Amino acid sequence: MIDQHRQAFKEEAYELLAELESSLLELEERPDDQDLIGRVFRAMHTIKGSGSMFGFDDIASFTHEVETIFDMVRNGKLQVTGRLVNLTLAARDQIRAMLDAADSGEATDLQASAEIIVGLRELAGFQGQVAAAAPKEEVHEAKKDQVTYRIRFAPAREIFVSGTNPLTLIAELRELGACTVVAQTAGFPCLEEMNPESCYVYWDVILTTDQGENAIRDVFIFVEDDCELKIEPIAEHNRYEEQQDYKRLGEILVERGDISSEDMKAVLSQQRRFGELAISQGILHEGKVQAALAEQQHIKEVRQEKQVAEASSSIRVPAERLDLLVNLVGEMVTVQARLSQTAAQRADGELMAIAEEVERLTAELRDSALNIRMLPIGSTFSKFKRLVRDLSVELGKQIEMTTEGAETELDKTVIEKLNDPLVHLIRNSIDHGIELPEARVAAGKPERGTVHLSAVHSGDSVLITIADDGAGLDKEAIRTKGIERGIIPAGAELSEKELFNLIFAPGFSTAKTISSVSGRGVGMDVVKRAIEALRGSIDITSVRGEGTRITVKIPLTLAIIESLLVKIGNDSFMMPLALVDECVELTREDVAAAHGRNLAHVRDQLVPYIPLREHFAIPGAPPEIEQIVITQVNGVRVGFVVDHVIGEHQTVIKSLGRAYKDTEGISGATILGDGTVALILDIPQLVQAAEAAQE
Amino acid sequence: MEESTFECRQDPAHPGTRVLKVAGEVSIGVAGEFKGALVGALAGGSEVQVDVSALTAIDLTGLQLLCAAHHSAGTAGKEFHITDGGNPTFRDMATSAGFRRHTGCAYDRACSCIWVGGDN
Repeated sequence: MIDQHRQAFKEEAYELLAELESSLLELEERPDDQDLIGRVFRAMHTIKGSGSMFGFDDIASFTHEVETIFDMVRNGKLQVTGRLVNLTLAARDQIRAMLDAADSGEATDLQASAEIIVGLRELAGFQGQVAAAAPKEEVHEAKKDQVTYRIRFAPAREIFVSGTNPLTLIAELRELGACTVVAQTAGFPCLEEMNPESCYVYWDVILTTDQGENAIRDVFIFVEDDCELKIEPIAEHNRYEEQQDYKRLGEILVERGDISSEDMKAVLSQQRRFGELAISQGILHEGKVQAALAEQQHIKEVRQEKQVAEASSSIRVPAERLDLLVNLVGEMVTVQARLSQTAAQRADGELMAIAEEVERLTAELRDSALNIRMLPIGSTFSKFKRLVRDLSVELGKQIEMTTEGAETELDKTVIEKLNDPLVHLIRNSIDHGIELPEARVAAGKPERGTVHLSAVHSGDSVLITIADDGAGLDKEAIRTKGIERGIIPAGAELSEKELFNLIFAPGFSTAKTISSVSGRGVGMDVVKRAIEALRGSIDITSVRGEGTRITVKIPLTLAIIESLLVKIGNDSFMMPLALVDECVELTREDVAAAHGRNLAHVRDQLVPYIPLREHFAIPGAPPEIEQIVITQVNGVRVGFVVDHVIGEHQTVIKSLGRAYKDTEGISGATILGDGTVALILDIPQLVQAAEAAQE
Repeated sequence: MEESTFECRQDPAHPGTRVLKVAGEVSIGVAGEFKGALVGALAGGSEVQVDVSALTAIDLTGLQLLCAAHHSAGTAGKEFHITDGGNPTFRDMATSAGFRRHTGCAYDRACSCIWVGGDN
């Protein structure tokens, strides 16, 4: 049980840390943004509070130090500086390290913590030693219940005579917590009749505080006899009732005694907004309605703040449960296909009607189940912001990262698997692409380089583009290197695209020095492989001196693909439709004419093909006329010979399980309407294997 | 304590409009004087503009008087405005005393409440 809570805390903390990071980076750009400062403070506060609750005492006390600093910033006692942001980012990393260490049981680097704290304290102008732990009561204070009070404070007319200033009392109230103050001026006489040294105004105050009613009474302790004071609690913020709407305006007014319930009913019998009505009928002064409205607003705001803190608009579900759901939906789709098929075969009208209904529901269910797994890519983007910032400092370059389409949604698994390849591509852009500031100025470009990251939907795919305004790819250097490495023969005629594709070849790197960022010559081939594993593709365009643009095309989801169903003997196979170009026939004569070479003539072009029957060693004789399904992988056309092409099929992908993990040429399986299993062909891999066999 | 001054003059551009310029600290010590100045300004024209841009402090008595003056002007069918020229002191004082609001008070028939919105 405890473990479960600790786990939940950790998940929440990781999320908060991610938010913290992006807030800090924004803060660096807009150091005066109070909203951002508030966000940083709240994130720290929440980590501290729930950290200590679940026994992460080291995290709580460390975070407390940082929080203290940001409290000063929030109160305008400290300026946001680059150094402060740097230290806070370091602190954020340290908290993360502490969280990671909590699991493995390793000790965290206490030295690093102490250094950060000393740095922060220097900034704040503190002297002295680093205290070992945060004061305990401060940590616990956050857990006290917040209660909202309704306070009516009506000072006596002659309150000024005693030298009391009611405004200082109001100011003291504000210090207790979130406070909405409405001055009531309705009882004012005309100017001529007003005694300038009397107090006519009274206040309705809504205060949310964790200090308790006595603290409020203490504020008024010296004027108790000189005023009318009403304090009543109206809402506790840790109750379930919060899920309902807060009281209606009328209820508030009746509760306050500003209006009788009879009057209210009379007013309500007419259908207009209550507030307007009551005023127009003269039952109420505008000011009183104003105060009641302010109360509604105040409670709303307090709740909203709470909601933001708890993100209660969403629920946290372990990813495995979603996977299970998607899996079950996948089986459901299969069963539904069988049902439809059976219904059609029996020509049973009633059954067919049911089957149709099930089909419709299943499709909706499938779509929404897949939708649940969709996440905006923005969280990944903001991680890159930090990467760019740190790398540019390290390399002495000035780089700005701009993003676009952060709200574009992708399957959760896809986003996770995209992270590493994208990191690598961005590192490359920064290291090889963007020039040093002097070189940029010399080339007539702005000193500050840009890396633009964008994501956009395109059909059933998402296009992710990484564009920089750096030096661009050096075609000659690539060609020389390619020849040097024996990847291409000397004097080979290559198109621009083919040249650029060379950088994805294993062991290719044009960087002259090896930096910590990139240049070890591993990577681009790994990137390409990772993208292909996601059934995606990668494309480069580049203009020398102007920049490079890398486009990664990724399918929206890994769970379903459009595919072409083919048969060899009694076995069914699926080919991803996105890769299929066309189908042509292959007769015995064609085979004979090719003299044993697996080449087909298609519109005067030679297309190599792979006879799948042979490849998979399927027994039996092929039919008189076979089919070649021609696919295109990386611009190369390769055919696959099958017995029959059945047609298009929407395929729910099932993984093959661990035992078949290393099977080459097969990427998964699916279950057909009639219950048989069809294997999904891994086309790029089959092509690669055939090429390797040729050599 | 800073001296306070109340200076009432005729707006040259708009006949009938009196401009009352309030400067310095308006506190209970000068409340009687302030009231007198407001009464005088209201008696002298059909429209009164109170310029508080040079005001450095105002206490509750001052805020009360402004509100009452607006009330009186409304009853007498006269117009009453406040121009604060973005004076942050004045705005802060009015806000912290809870005077600032979104709609006018019960007497405010012409949406002229001096506490609604920003400047003017």
